[in-house]
Amino acid sequence: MTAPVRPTFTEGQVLAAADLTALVDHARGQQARHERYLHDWGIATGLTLTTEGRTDPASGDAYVQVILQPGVAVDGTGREVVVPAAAPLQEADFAAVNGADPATESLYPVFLAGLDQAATSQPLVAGSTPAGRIQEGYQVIFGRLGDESTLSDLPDPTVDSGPGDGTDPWPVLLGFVRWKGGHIVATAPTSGRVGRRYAGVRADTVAARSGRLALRPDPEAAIGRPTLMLDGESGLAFGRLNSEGSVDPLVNVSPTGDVTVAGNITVAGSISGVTKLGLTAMASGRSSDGMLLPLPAGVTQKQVDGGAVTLHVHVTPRLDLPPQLGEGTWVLGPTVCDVDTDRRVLSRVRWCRLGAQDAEVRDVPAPVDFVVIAAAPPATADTAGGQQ
Amino acid sequence: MTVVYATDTGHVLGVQVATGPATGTPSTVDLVGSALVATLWPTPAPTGAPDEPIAIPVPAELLTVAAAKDLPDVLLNPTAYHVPPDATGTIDLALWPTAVAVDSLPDLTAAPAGGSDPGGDVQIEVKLSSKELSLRSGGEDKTANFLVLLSGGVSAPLTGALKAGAAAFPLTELSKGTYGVLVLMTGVSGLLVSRQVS
Repeated sequence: MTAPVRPTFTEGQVLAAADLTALVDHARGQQARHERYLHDWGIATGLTLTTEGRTDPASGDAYVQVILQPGVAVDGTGREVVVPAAAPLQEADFAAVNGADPATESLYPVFLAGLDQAATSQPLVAGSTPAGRIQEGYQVIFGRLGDESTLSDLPDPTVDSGPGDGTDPWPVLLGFVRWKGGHIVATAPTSGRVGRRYAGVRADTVAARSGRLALRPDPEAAIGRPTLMLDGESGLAFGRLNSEGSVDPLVNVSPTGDVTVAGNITVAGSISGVTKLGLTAMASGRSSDGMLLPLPAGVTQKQVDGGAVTLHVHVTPRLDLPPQLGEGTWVLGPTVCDVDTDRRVLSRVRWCRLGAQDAEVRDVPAPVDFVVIAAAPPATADTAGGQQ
Repeated sequence: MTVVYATDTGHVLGVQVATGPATGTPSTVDLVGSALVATLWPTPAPTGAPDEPIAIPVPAELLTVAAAKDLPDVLLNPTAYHVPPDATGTIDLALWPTAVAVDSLPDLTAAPAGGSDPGGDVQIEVKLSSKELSLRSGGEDKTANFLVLLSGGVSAPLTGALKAGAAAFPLTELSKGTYGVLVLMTGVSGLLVSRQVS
């Protein structure tokens, strides 16, 4: 390995072809290293696989002509791969790799790779020797089943190396095709969890100059699409992009650390840290005498027994005249209305019928209205996280 | 509305109505623990004498939980209602005729047809001695199923069917005192009475 060599020139120097080639190679090598180490390789733009319907004149079966649309990719050597115009894929290339009649209709990968080719050219000056040209072309490669999963096995270029020339193709996954009856019958951008590979960025710092940094899931800004925006004034917002280019926040973290959530919060684990208020849960309803009052949803007897939750129980007797007491004018007074340590209702109302010569007095179990409030004490760093 | 009822007879023994949407039917243990406690409140004495209640636990294994259509009166007098034997889904509770405990019934052959008065009451004779508990029914159904429980754990739950309107159970020698007796007999509302053993 050698350090990159930059050609220099002096006045009156006779330039040899090697000097000019070194000039170009230096620039190409520098560009390739930039692409390789500051970006992840993959599709930069375009390069979609589109289809046009066809019919096999012999069998009458429908199939598709697959067309690679123009675009640009960068491969793992840092080489730029340009497809300048739409190009139909050749089924013969598929058959050469996989056979004309494979036994499965599974999805086969389609790759793009750079390929240097000698270019026909005209002399720069009439009558002079034709100048050398290399066409930085491309090749479409049909893969075998499962070849898409071996892309990570490609060897890394040495640090000082320039872009590849296609001798050892570095395939960029474009998509998949399905083969049936001697033709391609469909395309797909993904197979299982593997899909088209797009170029990315390697950076430890991403800095905005407008004071606002956005992450969005589409190349073009689309109103209503989820967007993450870091704003120097309002903080971090996740929400939907609006027509003004900002975000209608669904989740917002202010510069002072306040979190605002428009939707629901589901906590699979526990919430730790210091909170100012404890948590409460409540159950209410009506119950007859002798029954156990329920715990609020999400509260367990173990929490109550362990002291992690304190119960506040309130019962009120319902004072409707029991039908079994019969006719007459009755006056009443609750004598017992309580719950025991098991939250069992104990409720009695004393009824007294007026007007009878011998006053009739009856003690009758009475239903109750109840409220059970479970309160967890304010969590602290010492007590939170782990109470079940 | 959730009801707890005696599996053998269908008598509703407990009711609970939770606020908010139903979140499934709770278990028997959730609603009553190991037993639902029926409490007998003695008739208050004019003298203000102590009137300690008598607790009669009904073991959870004798009970079933079901969802029932809302019926507010069930809360006021649960045992007057029952779960029909063939009920499924959210149950329509039905009302029993009223049972009235008496110390003694006339000869059964002389009992009025159906044993009921015009108001629909059915007389039930409950006798308790130190050696025996006996039941007689003045109702129409002389083969009614029943579940009888005594306070103080002096006897296992007594179950069975009437024969010719009567049934009797021998007891291990009961000590003197007042006992609560819960009588659940198909065809009539639940009966909770006290009986003295002397």
